[in-house]
Amino acid sequence: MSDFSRILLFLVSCVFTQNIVFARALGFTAMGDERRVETAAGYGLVVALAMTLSSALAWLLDMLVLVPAGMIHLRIVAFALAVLVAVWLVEKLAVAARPALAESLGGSLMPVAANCALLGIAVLNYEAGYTLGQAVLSGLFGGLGFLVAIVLMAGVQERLETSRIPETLKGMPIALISASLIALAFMGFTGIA
Amino acid sequence: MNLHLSPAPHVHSPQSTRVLMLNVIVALLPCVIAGVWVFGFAALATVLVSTVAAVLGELVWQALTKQKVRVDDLSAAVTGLILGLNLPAGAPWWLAALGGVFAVVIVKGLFGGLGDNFINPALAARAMLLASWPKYLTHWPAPAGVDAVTAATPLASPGSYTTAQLFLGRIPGAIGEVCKLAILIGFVYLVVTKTISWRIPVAMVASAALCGWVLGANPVATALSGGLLFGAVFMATDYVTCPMTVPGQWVYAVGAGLLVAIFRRFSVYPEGVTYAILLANISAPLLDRCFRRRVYGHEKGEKA
Amino acid sequence: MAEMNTSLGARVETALTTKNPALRLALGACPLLAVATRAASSLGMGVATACALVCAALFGAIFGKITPEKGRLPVFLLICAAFAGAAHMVLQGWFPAVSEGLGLYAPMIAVSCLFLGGAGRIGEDGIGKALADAVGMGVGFICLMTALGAVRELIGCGTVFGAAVLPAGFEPMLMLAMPAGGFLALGLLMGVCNAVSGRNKKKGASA
Repeated sequence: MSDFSRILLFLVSCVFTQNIVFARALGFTAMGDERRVETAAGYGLVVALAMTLSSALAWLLDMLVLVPAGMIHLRIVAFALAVLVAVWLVEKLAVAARPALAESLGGSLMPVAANCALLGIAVLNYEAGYTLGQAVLSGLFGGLGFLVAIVLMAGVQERLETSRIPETLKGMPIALISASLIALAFMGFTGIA
Repeated sequence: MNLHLSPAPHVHSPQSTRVLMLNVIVALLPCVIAGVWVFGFAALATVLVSTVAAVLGELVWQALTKQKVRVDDLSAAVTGLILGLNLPAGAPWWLAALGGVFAVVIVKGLFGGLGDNFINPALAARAMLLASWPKYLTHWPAPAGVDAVTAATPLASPGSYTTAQLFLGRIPGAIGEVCKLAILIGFVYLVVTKTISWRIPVAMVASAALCGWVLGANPVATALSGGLLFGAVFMATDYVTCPMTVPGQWVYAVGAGLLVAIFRRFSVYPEGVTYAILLANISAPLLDRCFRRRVYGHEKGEKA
Repeated sequence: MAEMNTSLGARVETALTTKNPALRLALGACPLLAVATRAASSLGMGVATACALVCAALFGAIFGKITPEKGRLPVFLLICAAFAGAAHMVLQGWFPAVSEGLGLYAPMIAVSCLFLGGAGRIGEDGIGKALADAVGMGVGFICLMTALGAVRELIGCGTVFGAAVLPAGFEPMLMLAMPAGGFLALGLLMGVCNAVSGRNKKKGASA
């Protein structure tokens, strides 16, 4: 199998078959209330970028500091640190490159670090024993999977705006139930990659 | 009747909904009859159980949540009927009943009722049943009179059935999907009565056949195997869950067909029509967003 | 929730600063949703998270006072990660079954604490108040996780705390053990809680 087709299969696997939100149930907290497709896409891009960076940083921290220094018990703290640094870098980047985008996301991007998909992907990479290149690709493709998930969810939430959802289910409960039905549909990808 | 209305606010008048749903039920009758002809009365029992469960489920849900009981709009009956026709003949009664209740309560009722669900209730219920009790939904009884208890579907063993067999339906499969002749009769009826437009079914089947052909499958067999035709005619055309804009509907149908071809070729399940239509449903709001502005502008321009 | 123009960043921030305890509990359960499939191990995860939360809240209250507002979230995340790591080691050593159930989701305890502890507000309250809040949230979280695990175990494999409680003919609904079932179970649980508390409120108002 050529490198290209292997990467393509990995992409399909990360975005659809093993989608970080619908197949791994990580990162849902970010999409509770979001109903606008544009901001969802902007947020998804920020997360995808941060996931790519944090995957690389977490790998480097693990291999260059923790393992040589025999501090592997601090892995969770180290990965959290990698996430924070990645989000901080993305914030600097966003402010420099697209001030409007940063503005639309509400000034500080630090709350993005509370997205468990970021910490999750670092842990997944470590558990899978990826090389640096694989970890970066996994972060990028996982981030694209998150982007797909949050944009689909925002579309559905927008559609539900005119629905007569019972008062007790408005907000997060109906978002969870919607995610459940989307996760069922994503099971169709099982076995594709 | 204009079929490109926004579904949520407009389909609530029970009278017009009932006429539409009655047309769908009439169009489904040939499939029910063909299913009974192929699989015997076990097929009728399965379809009846899921239909009754869906209607009762809707009745109890609407009464419990203190809404006006609207089972007389027949939408729950159609959901139950379509779900039943998607199951194998002789599926356990509790399976068909649970599916019917899940469809009308979880997929539709929790979101506000008819017109408020974002995904096709019968298909979502089928996906739930397949995820929860896979052994019953992958066990296909052989047609009555054939000397076997179970048999391979045309998708599991391509080339083992002639085109005539595929067309007339003396083959294993879900109750409603086997007889293509009956589905086509229903399709013609729905188009003639203007209940649905020909656009989505034709585009979806053509796209699946073409993409399947590119991926190495016989296009005629692709179109006539599995639940493609049934799904394209009766489920992809659901007003509530398909895009409202015409260009959106084209992309939706072609995309669903493409997904069918991909799922049949690559996924672990031999059939992927259920998932293809569900994913198309989920994308429908986004497709509408892409095309809505232009269409609105266009209409405004025409009126002015 | 009605305002459309609130930006997403602000929304996430709201999720981190909300005072609504039910919402904080549900957000805290999300990171562990994939693995909260059995009553016993969910109870274990709940207790581990609650312990980490109380410790993190103590340190958060101390450090929150001396960190500028923008630095609170990062500081609290690191504190939570440290105690999540400690909780994970305790589980590995003494409760291997729970640790196995968590699998690679163990670090997610840190993110759960972030939401349970209201990361956006640390340092605003005194130490005593922060601790009381953390204990309350911890107890609530143990209840929520146990309920979630019990419901999913009951329907998803026909047992509760490993004991068969349903008749022999029962065929488990496998979906409940999957992420799709987790989303559904948590969404419905929240709906039921809202309905019950709404009814209580009405009763209280009329009385």
